[in-house]
Amino acid sequence: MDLSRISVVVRMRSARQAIDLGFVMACAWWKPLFLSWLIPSALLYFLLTVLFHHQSWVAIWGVWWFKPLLDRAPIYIAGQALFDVKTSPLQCVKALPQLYKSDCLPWLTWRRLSPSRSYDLPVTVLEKLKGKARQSRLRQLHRENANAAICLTMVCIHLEWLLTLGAVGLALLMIPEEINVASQAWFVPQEGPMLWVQSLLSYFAMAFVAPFYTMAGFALYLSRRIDLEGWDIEIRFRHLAAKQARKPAAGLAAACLICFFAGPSFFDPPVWAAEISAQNKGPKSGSASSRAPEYERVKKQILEILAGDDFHKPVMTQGWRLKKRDAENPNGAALPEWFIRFVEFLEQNNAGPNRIAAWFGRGARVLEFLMWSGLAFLTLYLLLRYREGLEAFARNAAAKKQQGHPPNRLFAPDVRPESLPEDVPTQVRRLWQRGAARPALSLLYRATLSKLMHIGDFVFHEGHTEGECLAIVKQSGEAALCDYTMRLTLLWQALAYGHHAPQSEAVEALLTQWEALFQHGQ
Amino acid sequence: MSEEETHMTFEAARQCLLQLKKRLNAELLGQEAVVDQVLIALLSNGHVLIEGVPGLGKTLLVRTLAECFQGAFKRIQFTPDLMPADITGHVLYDMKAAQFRMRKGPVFTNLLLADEINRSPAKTQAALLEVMQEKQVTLEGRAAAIPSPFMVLATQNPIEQEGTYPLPEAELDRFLMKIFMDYPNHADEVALTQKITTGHADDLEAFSHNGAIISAAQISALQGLAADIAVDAQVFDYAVRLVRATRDSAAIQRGAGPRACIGLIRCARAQALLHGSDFVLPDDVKNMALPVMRHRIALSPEMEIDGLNADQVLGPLFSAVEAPRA
Repeated sequence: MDLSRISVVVRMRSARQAIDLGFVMACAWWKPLFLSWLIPSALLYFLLTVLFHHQSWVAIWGVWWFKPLLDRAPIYIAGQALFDVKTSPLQCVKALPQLYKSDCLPWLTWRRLSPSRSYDLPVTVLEKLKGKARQSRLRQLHRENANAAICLTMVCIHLEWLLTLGAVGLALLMIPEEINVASQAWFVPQEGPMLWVQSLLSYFAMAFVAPFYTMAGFALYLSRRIDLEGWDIEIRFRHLAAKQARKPAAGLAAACLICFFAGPSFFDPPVWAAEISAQNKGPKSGSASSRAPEYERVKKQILEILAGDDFHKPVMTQGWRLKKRDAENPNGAALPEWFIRFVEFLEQNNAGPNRIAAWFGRGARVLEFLMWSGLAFLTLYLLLRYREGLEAFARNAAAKKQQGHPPNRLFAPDVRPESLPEDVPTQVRRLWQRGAARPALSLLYRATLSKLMHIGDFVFHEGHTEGECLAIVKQSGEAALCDYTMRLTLLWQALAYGHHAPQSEAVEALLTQWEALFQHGQ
Repeated sequence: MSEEETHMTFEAARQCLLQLKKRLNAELLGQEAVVDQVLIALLSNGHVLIEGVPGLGKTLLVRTLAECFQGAFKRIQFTPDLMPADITGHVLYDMKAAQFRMRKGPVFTNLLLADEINRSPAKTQAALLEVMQEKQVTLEGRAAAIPSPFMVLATQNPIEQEGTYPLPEAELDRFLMKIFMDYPNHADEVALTQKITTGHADDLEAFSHNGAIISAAQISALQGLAADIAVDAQVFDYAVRLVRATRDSAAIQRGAGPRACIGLIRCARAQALLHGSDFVLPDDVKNMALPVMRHRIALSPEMEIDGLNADQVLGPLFSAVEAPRA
């Protein structure tokens, strides 16, 4: 087996890819494959038809039963074609007896209904293994692709039926509607020529499917062997050997590798199969024991070559990586490398303490400038970003401050204590005597509110009317204060809004009471 | 109409109003504020929209008020199928007299109770627009005057929303005040229950029918007297600032119009008269601000979503308006 002449791409394939490869091979070598199956089966079909011409089912059943033998010729042809070896019809005819004879009985009896027939047949046809060697080989093969092979058999069985029924259906479609045909009798004939027609259609369906079926199983087998025996690796080594042929040492190694891998033949069982076979057969075989010294020698040479300079070329790589500090500084007390370099830099530049201070000073000034700039920028950004919230906060703070401290102005007049005269009653009397009733009473009312806010701790807002201020004072429960405030408020409201000038006695009474309430209270 | 009726002294007016208040409060227990506001609207020659749950005595208030003076009282129960002609009246052809004859509607009265006004569609509600503002009804191109005094007291239920038609802004603006009628307190409710259920099989029998204590002419005289109540310039300014504050607030989508200023001063004058004062205080204006303006504004969607009503928005707003500076 010369792998360099293999006609398919040698690589690892999945089961589906392998089946696909089988169909491609069937198409590529269709004629020899089809004829190698058709001619023997046709002879058999004809013979059985002649012998059992009253029973049409015998012929088709006989062909179906002999399928394990009929499938061998296509596999044989494909095995040759795979390595670009053309098989002539004469060669094929000559090989047929040997092919059919090998393991004939088991395949026609207990193995006849094997669902993985297409996958297992190459072991019989190409490797010619029998008995326990074959079983061990199948165990090895069936670890992969066995399910795919079973599925392939199921699909092909249905395909044969579909083709048969499809052909019957097609024939029915060709019959004009005017002709009454019992379609059921066509599909399930009971008697007459339709039985033979259906038998013949079934035979051709089997003949049509057989190349695809056998090639798909063969491709699965091929894929499994590539996987097990590393054919793809061997081909790579061959290419490597061709390249290294000029170098004696490498050439020798390549030659050794080729010998190591290319020992077994495609048509021979692989090494491990041979070993198993040797164990089973005893000293008769002895191929493994004869090859052992050779393997030892090859192995030794391989190891020597692998230990040589060709496989130990030093390569220099550069890059950053962390130092192993513990390994470099076992004591752990050494100064860090950067500090040593920094000190060395200072020494080289003749930097004294003053120069160092000046250098640090310049850096600090730059840093200070950057920090102040950053702070200013941040402040400006925050002011702009949260300006609405800050305005609301300022308003609330002002309102709270207003609540906490009496307002300076209420109802227009200034109610701050310092804005009022020291002797309010005297000033009010003076204004009253001058005829300025409104200013006089306004001053008295303003002074009263001021006293209430600053001494009595009453809280008045700008929105409070005189009546509401009076209500607040009434809530305190101080009778004298309430009475005085009420009388003053009524007088003031009558003057301010009703333009009713109060009596002098009433004003004098209020002034007298004001002195009693506020001046003496101070 | 006697001279005494058309020209009433301030003291006589005060006494008359006191009697009126006493009579109304005797019949309608626990609703002093509502009685005051209805009287203020009457003195201001305005109309009121009363909002309250059923059974608080809205109809009783209007009926008693009508009985208090020698005037006519009509009631319209607003229903979805009520037509404008059912309110204003219509002109029909009299076959016997061979001429057109005007059939006056219930609006031709002194006191009109428009019960559950929001149960009628907008076209029926609009029939009141002319009569409320112009005090006249135009039928077949001829304007018919309404007797004076004329006052519309409309009621609506704040709970039911299904099958009701909200009053349009133009209609709302014609009401001088919107009055909220709340439940009476415990003591008043006990007295009310005792009064109605003791010795009377029918609820209406429990209310006294003591006859009129004031004439329609006296009402007009009181209205004239209220219009003469002195108002200082600062109070005018304060009233306008209160109204304008509703237009500057972000919480209010549509503020009150100039009619609110007019109504506010009229109500403040009436309240001063009701309190026996011959001048208006800023307190009178501030007290009347809510009932005069609560139905004339539209809250912003944010406030609506937050579930705030007009009073909750207007209260803080009015508190922030600076009181008059003497």
